[in-house]
Amino acid sequence: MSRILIVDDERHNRQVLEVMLTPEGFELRSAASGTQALSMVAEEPPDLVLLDIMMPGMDGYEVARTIKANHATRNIPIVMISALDDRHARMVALADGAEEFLTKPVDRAELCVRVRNLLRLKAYSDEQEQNRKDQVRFKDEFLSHVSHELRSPLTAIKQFTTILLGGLAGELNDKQIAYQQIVLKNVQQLQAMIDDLLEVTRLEAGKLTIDPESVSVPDAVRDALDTLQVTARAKGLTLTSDLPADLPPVSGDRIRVRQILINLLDNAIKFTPGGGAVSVQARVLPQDPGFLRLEVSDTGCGIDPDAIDRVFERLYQLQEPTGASRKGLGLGLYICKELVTRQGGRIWVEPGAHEGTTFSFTLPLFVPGIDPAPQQSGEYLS
Amino acid sequence: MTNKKILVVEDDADMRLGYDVLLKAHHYRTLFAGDALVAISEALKRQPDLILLDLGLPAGGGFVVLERLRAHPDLVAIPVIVVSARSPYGTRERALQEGARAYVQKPWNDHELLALISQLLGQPEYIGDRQREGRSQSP
Repeated sequence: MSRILIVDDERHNRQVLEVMLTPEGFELRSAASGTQALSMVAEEPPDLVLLDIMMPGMDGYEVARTIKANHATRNIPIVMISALDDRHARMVALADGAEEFLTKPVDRAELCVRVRNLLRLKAYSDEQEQNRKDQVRFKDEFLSHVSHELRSPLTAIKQFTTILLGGLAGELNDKQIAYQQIVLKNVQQLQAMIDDLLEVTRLEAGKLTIDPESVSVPDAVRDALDTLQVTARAKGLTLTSDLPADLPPVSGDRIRVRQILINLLDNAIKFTPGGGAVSVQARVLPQDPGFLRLEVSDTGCGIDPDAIDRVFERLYQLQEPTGASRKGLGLGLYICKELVTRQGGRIWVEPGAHEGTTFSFTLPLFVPGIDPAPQQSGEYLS
Repeated sequence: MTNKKILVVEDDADMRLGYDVLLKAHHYRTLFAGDALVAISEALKRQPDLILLDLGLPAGGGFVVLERLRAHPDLVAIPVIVVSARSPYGTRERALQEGARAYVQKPWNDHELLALISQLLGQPEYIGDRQREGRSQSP
């Protein structure tokens, strides 16, 4: 049964509409003021609102604008009903989001037809919205399920590869070790791709939340460098950091800051040939007050100017140097951008000062007692 | 030479064998359970020093095992490491809230898992910080 909310400050007017609509089998509610109407709409959204314009306090225009400005209620159709019958009043009502405008005294047959038509459209848009939500949820559940199922056999492969490499099943010769290491390296790539896939699913389902806290940049940088030192060394790269002693803390999520650095460093290592260098710098610049800037620079093959604007797009893949290991999913930098943005910063890339490429990002400085990072609601992102 | 007993609760036979090789190589004694019911009966019968617990299990799942362990006075003190292939978000917090001492993401890193086991066995007050802070391993 469709629920209709009748909003009019005069009791008699509400009763007239109730008498007209009751035989149609609607579930009717009434509000005697704009504020009462808005709280009833928020509490239990109706399927349609019949709204008087001239009311003391909050008028019908404002009620309509508020309903239409709210993501959760904007699909509720509004029929404005007023004694005002000039063109201007109609135009204002319709511009404020009302779907229909009826002039008092209301014709019963017309009211019923218009209400039914709007309810039919509302039912259709509700269905579309439900389908969309179902699809997002299905994709989310499907990807989590798939990732979970992929991780299990991957775990067994990794288990036995490390058993063999650890000599727990007898001594291996050099060739066998080298080959097992190739297996392990590919397991790790696959693992990283599954992690990225899950991360993007979470980002797009709006499930990724950032709880801003005070984050020590030197700690985050040290953690990230520790994590990747072995990979860099294996490729013959130097991996260093250059941080001033008095770096202030930033506002963000510790794990996420570390994750951004690891993603950028991993990328830099991938694109820098042996003998090169990858480094992290951090500083507060006068032209960017309130923010700390971190830079990851490499001496690699540089970046194609066409790619500068596109590298942060989802599924964009950089052209890798010949002979480099195969591509990833093209999600790493997209995840970085989302994580930086959600912590209130910016990220960009430019050619290095002399050679290579520099990825830079900013994060807001931590101010005790203030929460500068915008907390975005997932509702609007999906 | 340690002779601590570790109960591995894991329904995948390949992984059980992998655990067996790894843990024995590090001088642990191993016990196994392939589902939630056997996990509890083995724990009661053999009193392991530590439990490695998968979450996706037949006959109840890992959270049921955690609940039973917590409810039993003889078992409540045994440290449990949850080892799961599930997405860690939410699962990690829930596991820690429900009594697990640490959460390790599959596929794990042997070095970190072994360090965590010896820490939990040697220093009962230790809680695996690295596991709590982030992904237990990075690509």
